[in-house]
Amino acid sequence: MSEDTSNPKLEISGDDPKAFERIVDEYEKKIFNLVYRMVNNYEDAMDITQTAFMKAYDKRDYYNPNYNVFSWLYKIAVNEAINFIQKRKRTVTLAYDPVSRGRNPEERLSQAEEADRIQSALATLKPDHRVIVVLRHFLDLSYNEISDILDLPLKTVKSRLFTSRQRLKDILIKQGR
Amino acid sequence: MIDERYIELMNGEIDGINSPAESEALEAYLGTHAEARRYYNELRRLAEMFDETAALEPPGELRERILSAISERERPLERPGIREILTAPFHAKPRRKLGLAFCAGLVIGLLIFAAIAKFAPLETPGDIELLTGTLRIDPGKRILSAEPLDFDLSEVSGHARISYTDKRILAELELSSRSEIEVIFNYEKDIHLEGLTVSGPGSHTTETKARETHLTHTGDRDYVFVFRNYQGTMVPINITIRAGKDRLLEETILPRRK
Repeated sequence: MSEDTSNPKLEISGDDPKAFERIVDEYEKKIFNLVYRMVNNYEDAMDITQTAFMKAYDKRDYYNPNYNVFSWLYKIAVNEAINFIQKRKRTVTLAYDPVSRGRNPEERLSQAEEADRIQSALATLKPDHRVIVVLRHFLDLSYNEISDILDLPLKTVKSRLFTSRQRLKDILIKQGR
Repeated sequence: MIDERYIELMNGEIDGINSPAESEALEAYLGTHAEARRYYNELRRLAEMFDETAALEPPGELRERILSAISERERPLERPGIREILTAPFHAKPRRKLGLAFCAGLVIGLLIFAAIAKFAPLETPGDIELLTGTLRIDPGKRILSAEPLDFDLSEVSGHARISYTDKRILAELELSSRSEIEVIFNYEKDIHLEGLTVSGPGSHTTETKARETHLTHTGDRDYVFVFRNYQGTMVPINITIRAGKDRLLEETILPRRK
């Protein structure tokens, strides 16, 4: 078990909606980012994030406080995102540019184009590989944390991450020249 | 050709997990292999691209949507008080009073009949047809059903529904697949598979383990699993569908009132 440095004593079970409100405030952005990077669609990411929190709320009495809140939440969100992708059977390209806030037009254009390329490249990975890249690079989780969340051996996490990086490198770096 | 060991070290270097000795070994290798150096630089550039990508801000209304949905869950149903319920027949019109008296007599008669039936000899446990009839007809039983689950996946399509009585859990499953898929029911202790009926063309095998029931399926078949619930409370059922090593779906079914 890895240490939850954000707030290890967040209360999650019980009947107090305010307690769960703190969970939403703490993890809303991270969960949304995770889901968005997986499904590559802003509106879908919003719906799936809401569903993930609702499922976490419904299951709060089954949460084991010996485990990290974020591992538990991420696991629910990852399952929701992967289920969504499996049902959808295709990848939708980015329709909304969420990066382009508060920047001058040239920077906005450049950053938006870069973000598009990254998302398009991510979308070429199978969901069970994509999720590892997202958890490592966009949520900054360690191999052990990823292994806990996905319930995969450490060796498998590393293997999939390294393979995915090679593929993404070929798309984004080599072809970008 | 780059040595596989050093590709692992390159990735470790990017993730900051190499020991000083490993970093030194990698640097020495990169110093003498131009291809490896190029590979490592590309890998590092990739990591920098990800680092430079700003985290997305969720839409402003998302938080409110989540919290509103939670509040809806917690809102108590508006019901008349006990006093209003008990005194309502006495405030009704004469014809309505007669109708209510007839209904009251009917309900009392049914309750007496149900009480007599309760002490009749028990049927063989695991007789699915009888159990299904009991769930649907017995006026004394409350049946609570979870939201049905419909799925249309690459390897399998179908429908799942979980229903609860006070002592049993009924899992109805409709599956259509050309290749072999596995369905795993996962649940807490004190839940035991009591019976199963199957209909339709195809083939299947089942296996029960501690807290799990595995179904291997091919074809178009309908299944009705009956679990005996000794816990005394309604518990969630986790359903996982796999094709070989690929997990196609994982869903936890929770009971809801009809």
